[in-house]
Amino acid sequence: MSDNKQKVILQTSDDEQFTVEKIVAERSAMIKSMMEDLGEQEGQAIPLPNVSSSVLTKILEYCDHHKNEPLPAADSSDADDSRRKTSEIGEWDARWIQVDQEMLFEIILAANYLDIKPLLDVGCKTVANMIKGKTPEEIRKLFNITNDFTPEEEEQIRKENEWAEE
Amino acid sequence: MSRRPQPPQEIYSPIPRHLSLIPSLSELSISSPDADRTRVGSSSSRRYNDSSRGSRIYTATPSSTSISDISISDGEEDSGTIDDVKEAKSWLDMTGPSDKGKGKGKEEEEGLAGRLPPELLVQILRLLPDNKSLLSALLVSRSWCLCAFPMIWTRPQISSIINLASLIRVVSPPEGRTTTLPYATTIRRLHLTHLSNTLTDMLFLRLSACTRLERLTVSNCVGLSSRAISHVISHLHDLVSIDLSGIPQVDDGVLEELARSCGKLQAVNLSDCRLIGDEGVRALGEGCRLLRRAKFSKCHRLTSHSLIPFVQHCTLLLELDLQDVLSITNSTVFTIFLNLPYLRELKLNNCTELDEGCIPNLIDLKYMTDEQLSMLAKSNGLDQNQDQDHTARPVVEGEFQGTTTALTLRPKMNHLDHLRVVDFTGCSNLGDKAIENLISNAPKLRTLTLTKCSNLTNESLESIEKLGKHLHYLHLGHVRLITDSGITRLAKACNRLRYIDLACCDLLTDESIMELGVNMPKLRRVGLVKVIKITDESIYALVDRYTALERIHLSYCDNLSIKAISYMLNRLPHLKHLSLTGVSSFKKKELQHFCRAPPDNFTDHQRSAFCVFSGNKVDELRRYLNEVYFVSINGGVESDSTSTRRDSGSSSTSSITVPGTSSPPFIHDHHQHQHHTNTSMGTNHTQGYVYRRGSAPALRSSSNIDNISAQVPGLPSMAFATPTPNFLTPSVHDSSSSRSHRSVGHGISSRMRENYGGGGGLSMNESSREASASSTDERRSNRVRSHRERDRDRDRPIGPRDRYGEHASTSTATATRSHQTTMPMPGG
Repeated sequence: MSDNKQKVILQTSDDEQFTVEKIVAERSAMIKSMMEDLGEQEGQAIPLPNVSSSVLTKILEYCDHHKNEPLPAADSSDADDSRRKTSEIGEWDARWIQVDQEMLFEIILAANYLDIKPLLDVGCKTVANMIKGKTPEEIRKLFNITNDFTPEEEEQIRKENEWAEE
Repeated sequence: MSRRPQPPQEIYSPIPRHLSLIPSLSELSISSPDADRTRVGSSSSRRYNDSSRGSRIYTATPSSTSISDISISDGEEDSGTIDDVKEAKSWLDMTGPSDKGKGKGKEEEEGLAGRLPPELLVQILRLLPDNKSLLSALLVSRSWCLCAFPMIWTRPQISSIINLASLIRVVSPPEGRTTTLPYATTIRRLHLTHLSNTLTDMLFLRLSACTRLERLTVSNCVGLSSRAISHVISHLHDLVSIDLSGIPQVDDGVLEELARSCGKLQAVNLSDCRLIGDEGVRALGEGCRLLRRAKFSKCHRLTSHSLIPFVQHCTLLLELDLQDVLSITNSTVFTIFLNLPYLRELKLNNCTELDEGCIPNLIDLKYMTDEQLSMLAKSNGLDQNQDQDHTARPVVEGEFQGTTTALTLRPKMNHLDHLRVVDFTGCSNLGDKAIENLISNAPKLRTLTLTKCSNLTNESLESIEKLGKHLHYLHLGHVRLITDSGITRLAKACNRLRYIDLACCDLLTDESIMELGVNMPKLRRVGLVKVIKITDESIYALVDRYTALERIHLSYCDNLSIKAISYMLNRLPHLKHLSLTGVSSFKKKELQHFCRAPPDNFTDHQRSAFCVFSGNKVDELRRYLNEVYFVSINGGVESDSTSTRRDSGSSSTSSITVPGTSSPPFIHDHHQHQHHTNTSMGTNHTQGYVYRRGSAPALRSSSNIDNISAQVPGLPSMAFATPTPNFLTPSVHDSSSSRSHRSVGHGISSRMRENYGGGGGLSMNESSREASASSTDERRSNRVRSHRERDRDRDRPIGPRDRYGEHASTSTATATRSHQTTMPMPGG
């Protein structure tokens, strides 16, 4: 148990340092394996060059809330499947992920980088829910995406995939 | 939806890793589209994708479980990746440099969504619930399109023949025209069985454009010709699984084409392709050595001539179905056991040629000299038949050059550790020795079907016993020679059985059934059709202790009474099927009313006898018996002990009641009963108002129970309406307590047992009860009783239902006490 009380220092892209419980940091499979690989050197900060402090703050909130749950088995496709089966987002998670779009995508990217599977999943489900039932134009507008199809192309692709509508 | 990942079929996984050199489907198809990611993900997002992180999303699809995903009904997800990276990328590049520049400039303005790395976008799009949303995503932008189209095309969902026609129009466009995206080569799986009546060669032939197809299912598509199938197959070099079952035109030509073109084939279903013969199967074995599943059921032309070399070549087989391949002889089965270390499932139904020697004992073989091996093989037909010898041997020698036949006869393993399912239905010449060897070779069998293996005796049961807890399903229908002593031993050893069928084993008596009832907590289905000697005692014993039974077949067990069945119904909340055809006591119009309609092809005579209750009708029957039938016939005082049992039984299974609808003694007792429930559940409530059934730990789901109570409103109150004494209305008949004299002084233990077993019932005539079950009852009750009480009870033979009698009488006496352990012995 004392093991869990251990602290880990995380250093973000904007050079802020976060001291967190090991059990919290270990929600990230990437940090976990990094700690295992590097051995535990007291006081040594783990650099996270792809995560900003604002995003990390948010993510640590998530990790802290879920710290006592079992970790998904590494590389287990089973875990992957069971995760996908439940399309619902937990109540706490749903409230927690109510952030602006920029933050939402930052969270997804960071969750991917840090390898926090359940978090990545929450993020992806949230985005999928936003896409659901919208027209292409609505989706472009929602996410500010440029339509880079030529009109002919767009029409042809639409026709080629028409059969799938049934 | 096709793009949803499904759990890989774990059951087939236990094959050593080193075998994963066989390219599995997922390994073949999944390439991490690095090139593409860097292109789309460009500068800012790329920083999130040091390649090890980024690619994991792809590898999360079960690429490493290479063996586990080979099933005809697929398991894993192979969509969502962009396989034809180059083609797709070139399409993306078509826009030229100016556009690209513009794109990059845009990205700074665009939200992060536009710059999401493709693997993340894929993951998001996979979560979309329907094709409509996916089609919208497809048309958002080029990068979205690249992520979305494989999800639509990898496993296209084809709803109708018109749907298929429009898909085919896209995948095989007229000369000189191309599609925007490489649709045809994106298709991995096609499932066309539901178009079986309308699919013709004309459309089917054009599927040859789908050259990357891995799974093709066209079972029962009777409109396809052998020529068309061969033509399409010749283009499908990546084919992993093909299902041609039920297409009568499939012939050796098709198999030869499979052998020629589809070296990666791992699963083939040729059931009911009656034209295929030895030539085709031999070619198949030579060409497709990676086969894991092969189904040849009803291919009646096949013989050992092809099957022996086939088995010798395809040593990875884990499922082999040779149902109704009637001419199979010992030599084939012998070869199977020698050569297939990974075998999991073997079906040999109706291969009546098989006898005693068809299964070698692998361990014995190991220590035999070459000479002995040859002798043994010879005696089992490997040499016997001249024809066979000629055909079997050249292949053997070709395979193992320079070795003697004896060497090829030496088994490659001691056990078939993976063998789980064996079906010998109708192999009527099979002997006990064969079963002994089978069990010795396959110590972890889970499902064993020996129906109509009429030569088998108790000796076979003694072998089967060794499977112990591994055995879950056992079919012994028509194995007429088995007796109570065999079943008794079996029941004690194989206590994890879920299903046992003993139809027509007419030597069996109540004794066997009692053992089943006492030893098998997990039993869900039991088949006792025409086990004509059994009586009501069997019924009581069967449901006395465990109440998980869901399906019971009792047709032609003519000794059964309505009372016993009624008792049973009230004990089994999960019962969904009950067959009582030919049970005279149920030949009553009012009861037949709840019976299912007889099958159309029955004769009038059969129709009149038909008596099967299923689904809701079981509940209706239970309700009717409780509320109407017994109420009406019990108008007067009924002192018959059985009826009291029935009453208390009903109360115990569903002690739920509607307060206020019954007489005071009933309510009073109801509370009492509920008190027991609580103690059994380990809670400390005394007299709560939760009117719920008080029954055993065996009843797992309280919601189910609630269901029952909802479905059977007022059931117990009606049951109690009879003036017969039971433990809920003991005051009606004081004599009842005195009748079960043994109970005096053992209120606690008996009640606890009642709680445990979930039973409830008044004592009946003690005479018949103590039978064989008493010792096991002791064991059971020990689990809940204190040592002191146990000691006191130890010497008393207590039959299963007597206990309830005891309980019934003593529960009244202890009605006001709040906790059992503090209760003094009322009588002792």
